[in-house]
Amino acid sequence: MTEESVQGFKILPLVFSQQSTSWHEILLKEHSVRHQDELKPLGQTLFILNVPPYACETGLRNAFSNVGNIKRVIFENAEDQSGDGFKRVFVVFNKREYLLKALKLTQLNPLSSDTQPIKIGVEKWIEDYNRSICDSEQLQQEVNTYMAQYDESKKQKPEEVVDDEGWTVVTKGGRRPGISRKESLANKLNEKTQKSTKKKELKNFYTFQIRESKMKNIAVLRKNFEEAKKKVELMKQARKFKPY
Amino acid sequence: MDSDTLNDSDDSEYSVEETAPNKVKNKRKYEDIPTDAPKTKKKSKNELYKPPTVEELNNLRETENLFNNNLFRLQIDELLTEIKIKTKRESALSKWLENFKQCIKKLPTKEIALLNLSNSKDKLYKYLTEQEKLFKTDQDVLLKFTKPEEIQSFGLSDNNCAPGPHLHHRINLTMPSSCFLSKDYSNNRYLVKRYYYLLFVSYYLKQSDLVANLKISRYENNHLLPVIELTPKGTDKTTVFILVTPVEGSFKPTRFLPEQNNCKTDLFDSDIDANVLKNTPTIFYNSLLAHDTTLYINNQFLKSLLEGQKNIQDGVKLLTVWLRQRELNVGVGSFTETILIHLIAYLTHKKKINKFMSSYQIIRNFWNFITTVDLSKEPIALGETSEESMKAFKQSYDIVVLDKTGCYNVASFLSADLYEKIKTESRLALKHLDDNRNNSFNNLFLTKRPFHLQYDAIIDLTESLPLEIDHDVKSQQKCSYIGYKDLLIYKHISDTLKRGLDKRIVHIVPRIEAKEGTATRLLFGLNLNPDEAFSFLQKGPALSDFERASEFRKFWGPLASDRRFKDGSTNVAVYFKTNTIKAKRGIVAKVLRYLLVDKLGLRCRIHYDQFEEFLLCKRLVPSYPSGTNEETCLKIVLASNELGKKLRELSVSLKITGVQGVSDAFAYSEIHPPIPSNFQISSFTSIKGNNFVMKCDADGVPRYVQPVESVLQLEHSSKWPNDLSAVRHLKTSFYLEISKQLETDGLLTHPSRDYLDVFYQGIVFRYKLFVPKEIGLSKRIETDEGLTSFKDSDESDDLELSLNILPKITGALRGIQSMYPSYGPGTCLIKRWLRSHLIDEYHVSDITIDLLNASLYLDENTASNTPQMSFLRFLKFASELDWNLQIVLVNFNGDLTAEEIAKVESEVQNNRNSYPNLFVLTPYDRYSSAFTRRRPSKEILSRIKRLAAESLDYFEKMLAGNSSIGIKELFLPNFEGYNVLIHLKPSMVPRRFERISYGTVDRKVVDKYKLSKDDRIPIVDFDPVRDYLEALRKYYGKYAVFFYDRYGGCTIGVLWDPKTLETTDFKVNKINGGKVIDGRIIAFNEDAVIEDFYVIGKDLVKSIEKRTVCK
Repeated sequence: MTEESVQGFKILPLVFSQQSTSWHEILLKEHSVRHQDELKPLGQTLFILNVPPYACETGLRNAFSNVGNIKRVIFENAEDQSGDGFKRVFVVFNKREYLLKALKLTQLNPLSSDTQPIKIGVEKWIEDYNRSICDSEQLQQEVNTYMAQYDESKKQKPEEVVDDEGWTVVTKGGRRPGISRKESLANKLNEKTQKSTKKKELKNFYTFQIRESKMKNIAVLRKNFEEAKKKVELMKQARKFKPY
Repeated sequence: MDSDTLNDSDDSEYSVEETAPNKVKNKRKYEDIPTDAPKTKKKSKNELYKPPTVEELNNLRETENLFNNNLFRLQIDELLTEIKIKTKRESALSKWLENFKQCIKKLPTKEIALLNLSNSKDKLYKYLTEQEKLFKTDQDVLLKFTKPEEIQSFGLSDNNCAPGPHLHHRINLTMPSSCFLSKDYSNNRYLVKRYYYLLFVSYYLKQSDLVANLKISRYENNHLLPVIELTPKGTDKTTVFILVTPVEGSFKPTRFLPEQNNCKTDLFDSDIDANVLKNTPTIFYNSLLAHDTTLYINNQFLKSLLEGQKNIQDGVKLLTVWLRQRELNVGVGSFTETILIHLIAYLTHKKKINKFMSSYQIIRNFWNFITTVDLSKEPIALGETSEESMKAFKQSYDIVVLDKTGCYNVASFLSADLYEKIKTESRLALKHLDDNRNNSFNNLFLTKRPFHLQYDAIIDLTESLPLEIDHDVKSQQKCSYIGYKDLLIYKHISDTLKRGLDKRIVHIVPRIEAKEGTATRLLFGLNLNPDEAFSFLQKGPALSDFERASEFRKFWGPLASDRRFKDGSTNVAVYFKTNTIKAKRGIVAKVLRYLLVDKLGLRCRIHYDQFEEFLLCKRLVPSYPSGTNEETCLKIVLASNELGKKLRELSVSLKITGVQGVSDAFAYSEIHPPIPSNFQISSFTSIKGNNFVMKCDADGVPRYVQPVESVLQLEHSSKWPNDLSAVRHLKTSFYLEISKQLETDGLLTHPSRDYLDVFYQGIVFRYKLFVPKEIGLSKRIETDEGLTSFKDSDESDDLELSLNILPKITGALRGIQSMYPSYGPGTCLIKRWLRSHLIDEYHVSDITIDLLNASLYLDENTASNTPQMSFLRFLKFASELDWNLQIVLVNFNGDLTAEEIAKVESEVQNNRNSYPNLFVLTPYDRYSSAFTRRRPSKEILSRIKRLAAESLDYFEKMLAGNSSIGIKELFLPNFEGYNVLIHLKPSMVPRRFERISYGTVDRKVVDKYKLSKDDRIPIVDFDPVRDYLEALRKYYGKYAVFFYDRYGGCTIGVLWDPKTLETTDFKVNKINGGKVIDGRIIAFNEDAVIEDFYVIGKDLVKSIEKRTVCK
């Protein structure tokens, strides 16, 4: 395993466990961007690319266990539907020196160690299943506390707020609450006004209107014809008309 | 000009107000613009609104009045051009015909007595003796050979009515009357003379250089009508048939009326009494002679009728295509072109068709005529015919269509059974026209409907050819069939079958293929009557009706028994004892075997229910009698109804108003529904509350238990909170509340956050609550201006799909199942087949298959009576499905109007790429094709298409008896071509019992469910393989496609996406799953990913096999 780098990234092999025979190459580099993010402090954050899908926080802590304390691990996945499980990971160390140490590493520990194994495979699925079987008492408790909290938060909302200058905010509630601000409602109102203006129009009053409506009729026929033609053209391309 | 415009622009830019001449210049410039640039932009709109020409107006109006619609008209035009016979071909033929005429005119004149023929040394006579001897006569005849009186071209192609691409030309040569004696019509004398004349012509044709290939075959499969079939030299795809007939006036056509006798000696070795023969009319023999005698007149008549009638000609072409696609004009006794053209002539004669009609109207009127008029009851005639002779014809023949002369029944040899089938097909065709759907044209003219897809059961009697059946037929009947004794035998078989099957069938259609006059293939197709076909009782006459009862007993032999019925009557009857639905379907086969094998002593193959074998679960069987999935599904439905009743009666804070099933089991389309049973603790499990849970170190998994899912609806309430999470928590509390009440009833329940499981009668039922508000809330988005809007998101769509749309669809599918009991098992067969080929739920979901098959059942043309037919028709449908061009319509209860459908169709067509690859239109999902939104992919659709076509092809070969391998091959996956195979540990596959079993396997019987205190809810819906595939697809779906047979498969096939294996230059966003080579190129890290497969499937994966695939 020779040390390699590409475009400022350092390449290190990462294996799942001691028994693994193949490895993924992960790319690491010090995190540096213009916009600072509190969660990813500059100088302490390691930016890693191509981390295999099954790597979790425990796994990465295992991998960097030789370096020093890790404050947090942040995963950035691609979208759910994309079918790409490889991740970008930000590892935030407690001190800068750990980061520097990490960048000098020539070898990473396996993701899964004997003391801190990653649960995977059938074991994980069994655990998931067993967890889905819940105790109804506990569940009841959980629901009750949540609902209690929810009711509480509802109640806490002040009925009327009088601000500094003595204005009272009157939106929802009150005697005449006004229209709620929903898109659907706004659309409905729009439609209504449009309809009423349309009703006032006289349709077959002027000769040009009659002419136009005739023209429109022909236009529709033509359009249908064009559409049909297009369809037949497509069918022709698909050699549909060869009956045998 | 250039400088001018430059100046102009300068002016307008720098000096705003100028003198008049400049303004004029500006104006000119303005006028210039529209002629130049934006012309193309406005074109489309202008085109639509430009004033119409008279011609165009006429055309548009004509389409409206004379054709169904634009599309239909265009399609007709397109088809007609496609099937037009090439001018090149036609002119080659007409050139050839000139030469042919020259050659015929040069024929020498000769004569010889038949008896002297074999002694003659003349080359011609030698040739004549060498040919097969077809006819015997009662006396020696003098054969006179000379050039024919007339050469007449006839038939469809001559009248420009024949569809291409092949050109079949018919020629009629008339023998001069000098060849005949006045009594030659009797005792085969004419036939002998005609035959030798034909051979004489063929001899000289062979001598000439006109012919590439020549043989003697039979005209319209009539074995007594020899004809020269030749391929002319210098033409392609052209065949010429030459017939010989007596010239007009040689015989009186009235000589061949049905009550006449024209064959007084037994010249066909029919073993009949000569005395009887003398006094019996020779019906079919007469027809043969009448055909020859009237051919010339009829041809002249038809020609004059069709001359220049382009629309009628087109109509005949279309009808011929229609017949050909349905194979209704093949074989002995078929609906020949002669019959077709005479019927058209009749309609013209009766003014039902005229030259002002469009081809569309002509075919429509034809179908309408066939549907409404029953020719077997009302004979028709083209000319003036007395009522008496009509009566005589009606008595002698099944169907009567008299020609111009009134002496020849054109439909003499048309089998009445086939005619019935044609009536049905015509009715369907009319329905297609009325439906006026996008694919009605397709269905009528473009898709093949081969024999084996038209009938529910097919009997293949080819093995017992040539047929020799001893049946007691009156010698009189034998006499009237003289020359055509095979027809009598077919009739006997068909009558026996009809009598035995009685009300069970609607149609029984013979298909007799013949070559050179001998039958080579004999099939019968059966259309079942779904109401009666599977009845286990066939009631005979009352015991008191002694004579008929004993006849019934004689017919049914050991199967008949005397029975007393509930109403006190005693009848002789045939009773079939069955206890499963599959066995009930088998009754038809049982009856057929009895009739054909035991009674008629024939060898036969019956294609009817072989495929049902794949629906059996042989490894795990319930204790109650069961065939396919149907019995278990019924049990589930019943249990669900009972439990649903209980649920509705509960007094919970909001009343449960509806319980709607959503599992496939409700529509009987679940191939392996959970078998009711008690569950004991095993080495894999331990107990937690009401449930079993898995032991962490289990080295195997229990068999898969599927929960039967339903959706609960509550009475309306306005008190649901305005917060998504709160609604969900309230739902959970409902589950808890229902669970508590059911527990007091003694039921085992397990409420969880998202559902409620109830264990009832050995089945796990899973309930979810449908709260409309939840869907609304999940769509809510607040925009920046504080406006609340509702937008569909993936989450809300999925929610709506599973809780609102799916119950409606499942309900509708249940409806189909109850109307067509074969729907469920048929769908199962399709699923079994598709899954066998490793296309699993992820690629094509179960509900998609349900819907596709439902679309077939909602169309009368493709609704099936047996699971096997359903499967085969699906294969046909899939192999022809043009998903890019057509949408699949599943119009439950006809809820969608034609306008709606048309709107969606054109919308999808115009924006094809923004809609799913496979668009399924149902009334319940707001035209969104909700179930195929993401998948199937184009690749999978193409694969299914290929698979279906291959499977169908294979089945056809098997039918034709050309295939040595059985149908099992159709359900064997092919593992060739995959890049990687992941082998799983069988003990970890919970669905291992669902694998197809070849040969004998260990049977495990599930004990009957008994209520017990030790009951626990089993491990339910736990399938590590499914979880594994989910993980693989989630993590590596971009790089590879995964294939798996869900029903107990032990191997996962992996196919790398071709893009994955390409190397690229280094880019940060391309690094995923790759490795860096030489510090600048990224290549796919195949080995590492394969090892990942192993890691993720720890304890499940046995081994991974990397395959090198040759490209």
